[in-house]
Amino acid sequence: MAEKTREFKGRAVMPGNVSGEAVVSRQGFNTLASFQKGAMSNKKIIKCGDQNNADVYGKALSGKVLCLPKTIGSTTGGMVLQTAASMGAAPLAMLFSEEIDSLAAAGVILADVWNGIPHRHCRQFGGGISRFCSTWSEDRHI
Amino acid sequence: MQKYSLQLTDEEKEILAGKQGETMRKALESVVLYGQIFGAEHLAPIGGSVHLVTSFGIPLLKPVFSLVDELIAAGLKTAKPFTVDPRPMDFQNVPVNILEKFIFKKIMYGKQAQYEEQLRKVGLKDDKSFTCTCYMDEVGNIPRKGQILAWAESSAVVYANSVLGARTNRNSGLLELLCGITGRAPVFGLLTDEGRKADWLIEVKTKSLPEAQILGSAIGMKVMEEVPFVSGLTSFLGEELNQRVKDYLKDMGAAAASNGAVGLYHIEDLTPEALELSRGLLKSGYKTYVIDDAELKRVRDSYPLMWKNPAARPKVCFIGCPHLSLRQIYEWLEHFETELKSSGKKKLAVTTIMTAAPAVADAFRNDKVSYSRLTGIGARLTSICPLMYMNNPLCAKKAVMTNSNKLRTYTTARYFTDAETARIAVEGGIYG
Repeated sequence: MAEKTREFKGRAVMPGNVSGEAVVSRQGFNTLASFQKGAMSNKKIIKCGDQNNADVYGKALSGKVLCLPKTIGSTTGGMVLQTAASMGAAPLAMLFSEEIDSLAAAGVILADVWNGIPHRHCRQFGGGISRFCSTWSEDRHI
Repeated sequence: MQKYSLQLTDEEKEILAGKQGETMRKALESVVLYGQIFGAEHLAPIGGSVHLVTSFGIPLLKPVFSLVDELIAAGLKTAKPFTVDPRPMDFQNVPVNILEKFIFKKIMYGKQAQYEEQLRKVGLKDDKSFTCTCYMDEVGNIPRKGQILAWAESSAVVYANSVLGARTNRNSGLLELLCGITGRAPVFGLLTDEGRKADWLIEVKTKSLPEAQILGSAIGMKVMEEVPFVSGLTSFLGEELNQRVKDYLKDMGAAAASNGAVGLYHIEDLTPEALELSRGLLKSGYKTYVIDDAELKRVRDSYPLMWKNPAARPKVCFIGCPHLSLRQIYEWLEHFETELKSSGKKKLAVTTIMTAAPAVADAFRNDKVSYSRLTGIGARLTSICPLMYMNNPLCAKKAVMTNSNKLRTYTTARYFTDAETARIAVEGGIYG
């Protein structure tokens, strides 16, 4: 299949350049429920463990470009993202179709300020990114 | 010094320039960057005590331990003593086999003792401060209306904002500690008047009082992190914010916060800001969501069943996520005794574990007659976090039932209403 490209413009919360396969959650992404099981098992590739998210349940999250509206659920979320980042098992980037939420933002800040992990990039788009990814291909590159 | 978009005081500028040490600089930088992302214009002094979400010494959380070690090495602690979420283990009151105990102690929570020592050094209130319901009278971390806070623990945040009228964002674990260390929180979102206005009008049109856990779940799934203004509940709950109503709102809010990301709700004619501003809290162009009995059934039917054997007899029943109030413990005792009497039984058939804050559990245990009645029917009272118990892969494989939508969301536990929970715990099987 020919690779299609489309440009999105958004605010760079933590700027940088990455390339990777997209994983798309059209609903709120529950960070704790998604990462808990994999992180507890100390796996390098964490698969989404959130039973309530049919879009991404069972799919690898590590090293992917996670497209989501925002994160939801437990307030351990930021710390869980920081831990996944320190394990080298976080998504390469997170593209938000809505305003970034406080838990995801905390994860980015904690990893950056306290662990010096510069390769976490969050970008916030006005909308359409999740729809675009999900209507095209699950494994397309961004 | 890096340029920040927030208006900073001279003291804050000095801290960011490293005048109070590198660790304090990093702590404040984290808080400032956090505010910057959300367009905060300045930081505000925190009025109340912090409540932390991270209470468990999972060895995996190395970044957490090393961060707290840095704070300790720099001699930093919170200005006021803080409370923290529940401990993960209580082998005296929560039955585990030898293998499970080994996994809990040596693998899952192998750093528990060290982590608790770390918490004491950075400002933990006392050994009884491990609960997700720090706002109970017996615990005493009760913020005042309008007070600026920096809390984590989603169920506590939504309660503090909605029922008590305090002001805290849904802070992530560690960020809340850093706010406590610096004594400041960035002013954005739920700390502002505008951020506390409602995006949604939720019209409850059920025939009877909805199950709090399902109503909260429906609201959370619909509004995600937006603010709902709920009408139609006072016809069932009344207009007095008494302990029964507070307990209902505690459980509803926890479900809304875990099934979505709700940090604040208003209940018409009941919660503090709704009493003052009524429908003036609704933003122009607000959305409407009608919840009737059919909608609640649809939401409940959408819950996946994660038990390996859907027909299994439940092994363990957890009641109290978030932790029960003292009134709720008494209420459950009555539920069980009524159900046992009608079944002609004397003991619960399912290992039933009720959880409450240490100070609340102590208060109940001090009523020796009632405590004896509770243990006499086979129920157990503890102060652990059921979610942490379910993290153990061996425990996660068990057929665990619960009346908590939060526990259902994060684990393989199966949800039942309060009435179903009482009946199944007595009968031992799931019928009908």
